Amino acid sequence: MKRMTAILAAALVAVANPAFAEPGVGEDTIRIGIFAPLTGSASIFGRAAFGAEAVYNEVNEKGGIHGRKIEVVREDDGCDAARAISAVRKLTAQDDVFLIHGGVCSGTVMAVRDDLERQNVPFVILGAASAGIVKPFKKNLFQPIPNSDVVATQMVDFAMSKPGTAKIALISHTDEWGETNSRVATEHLKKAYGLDISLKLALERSTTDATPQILQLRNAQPDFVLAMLYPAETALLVRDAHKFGMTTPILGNFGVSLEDTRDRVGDMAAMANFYTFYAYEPALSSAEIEPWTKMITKYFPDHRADTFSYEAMGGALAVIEALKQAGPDLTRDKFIAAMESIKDFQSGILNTPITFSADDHAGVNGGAMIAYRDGKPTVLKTWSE
Amino acid sequence: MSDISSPTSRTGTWTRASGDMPRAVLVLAALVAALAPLGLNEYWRFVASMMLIYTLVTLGFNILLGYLGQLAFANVAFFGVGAYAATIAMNGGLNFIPGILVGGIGGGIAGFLVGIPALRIRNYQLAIVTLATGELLRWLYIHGGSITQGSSGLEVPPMTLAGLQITTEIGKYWVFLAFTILCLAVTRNLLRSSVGRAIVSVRESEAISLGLGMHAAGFRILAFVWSGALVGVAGGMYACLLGRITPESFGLTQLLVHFSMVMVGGLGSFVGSIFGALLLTAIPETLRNFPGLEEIVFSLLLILVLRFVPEGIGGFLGARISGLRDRFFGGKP
Repeated sequence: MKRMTAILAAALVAVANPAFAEPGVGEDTIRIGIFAPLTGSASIFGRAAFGAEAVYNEVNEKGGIHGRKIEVVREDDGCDAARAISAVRKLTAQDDVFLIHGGVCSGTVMAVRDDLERQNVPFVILGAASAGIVKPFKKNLFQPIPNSDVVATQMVDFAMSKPGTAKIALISHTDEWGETNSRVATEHLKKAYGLDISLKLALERSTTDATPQILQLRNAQPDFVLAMLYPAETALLVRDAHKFGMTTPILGNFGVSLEDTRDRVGDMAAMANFYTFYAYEPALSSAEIEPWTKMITKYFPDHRADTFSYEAMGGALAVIEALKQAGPDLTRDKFIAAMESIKDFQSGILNTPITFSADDHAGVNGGAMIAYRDGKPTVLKTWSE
Repeated sequence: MSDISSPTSRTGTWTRASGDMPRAVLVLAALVAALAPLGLNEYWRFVASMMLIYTLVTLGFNILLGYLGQLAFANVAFFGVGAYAATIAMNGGLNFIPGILVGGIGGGIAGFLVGIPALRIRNYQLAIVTLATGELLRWLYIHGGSITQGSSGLEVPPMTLAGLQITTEIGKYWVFLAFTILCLAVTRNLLRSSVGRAIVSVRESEAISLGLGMHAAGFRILAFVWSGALVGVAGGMYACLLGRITPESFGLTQLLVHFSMVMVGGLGSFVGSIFGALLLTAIPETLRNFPGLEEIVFSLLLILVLRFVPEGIGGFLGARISGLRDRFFGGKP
């Protein structure tokens, strides 16, 4: 009889306490799913997962949120759409996560976003930068990093901030990614400055020689070269430009890290005229970025932190802020509303505040460039800085 | 002359099945396959659907590698063509069944086109040409503009069957299961018919086949077309299951997975194709939580199978269970 009463009491408590009925929310835990390429050729970008997880671990160490600790379930998608779908199905159907903070490759995000929208699972992007991710608008999806439109615009604005700039050349891959980035930069240059791209060149992926392109660029003598290229091809362009003595500044895209390019080029002298998009406030290797690096290596001692390791830390802090605002009776709808109420959120790691609204979930609308100055990575908002 | 070390060519004998699997066992297997996902969550139902798709992919590949004995690696090309053709057709308004058929026809046409050069070139030359075909098609998907939507890929509309939208994993699984059983039955019958015997005969000795009055070139092309169609159907199912297809899904990594499934299952083994697909789809999912281990286990399994059970799972089981023995499988190579 006593046992029966206890079971009934437990059942009543469960029914009367709807807060714990929300998927992934327990009495003392909130389960968050992370997916990223942890293996394979794109695993360099997957480092963002460790930065985000470090932030969540740090919050747990400080007591959690409303008495709940964050439990992270991490999955590898190998930057492959099929594996990402499989990972997300596991996270939602088996691990029962409250929200997903994942996706570094735009193709994988595109592959899973409709499914997550149908299930109303909050989906915060880890590092995928395509502007197409938030178009069309999806209520559950947030992009707390600068997207490709922001990056292309920043590259043009940076070039035009140098007095006397009149000729800008553009070199890009011929795929949809390269074409989209090129189109945004070309349109912004025309609309904001009344200029056309002076020379447009193509460089195919996996190319091992950029000599023809460098010779054409040298002949055209532009003031800047916008490189809408992936990391390997950007490094190839920088290396061949140096080989042929071309001193025109080359501007790299968001997915291109200054350190990674330096390592691939293998010659600091070749890096003198290379600048790349940079989303963070503190410069790489500076004393200011050290606490962020230590936060990551504290939980992942074997992790070699680089540009991509910090990419999702701002987004993770925005998630924490929204979880706090959503209150102890946490639901997915409350979390989404709290995310939408985030305005001018200074994460401390991103150089531009995060702002969401009820109809705009592209949260970061600015950035900077980074280049080596006297051998040190230096953040530059404009050329004159 | 045989182009690759087929299981039969070294022994020089064909082992005929001593007895077919009783019909009741086949019906029971189909029933188990239909009911098993009821006890699984959505994630494992998704994985189960993937197993069905890879079963057709592996069997299609095995027709060329095992039954015809050709070093033809265009399987991923057939898979991609099937997926893109079905998706474009369904985006154009066709529902699931005609969409999948378009995928199969697309794969079959790709098989025909790859089969023509295979009449003239053999061995490593054929391997290179077929590998290049897959890469060329992947380049086309990336640069296909509005038709393929480049790197971000094509969205696949929800599966519609008889006016009903199938959105649940179990619903998709049952539809895929019906298609898979149908394709397996037709392929099984084809391989056991005079056509299948002719294809194996071409593998064993094209000269003798010609001497017997067979149209070797025709059977060679037919094997390519059937392989392409089967894998094309699987490609269409794959697109429907994922909801979006991207060029990255049809690269060399995918091809290596297909090849491993055939080798682990057993060259020229019908049941081996099924076991190879089931096993190598389940392993990566089971090892999800151990990054890096998946690749190690995958490679080790391949090495161990090739070293200790070179006839693959199909050959190993066939030697012990007469009902699982393939009609033209020759046992140990």
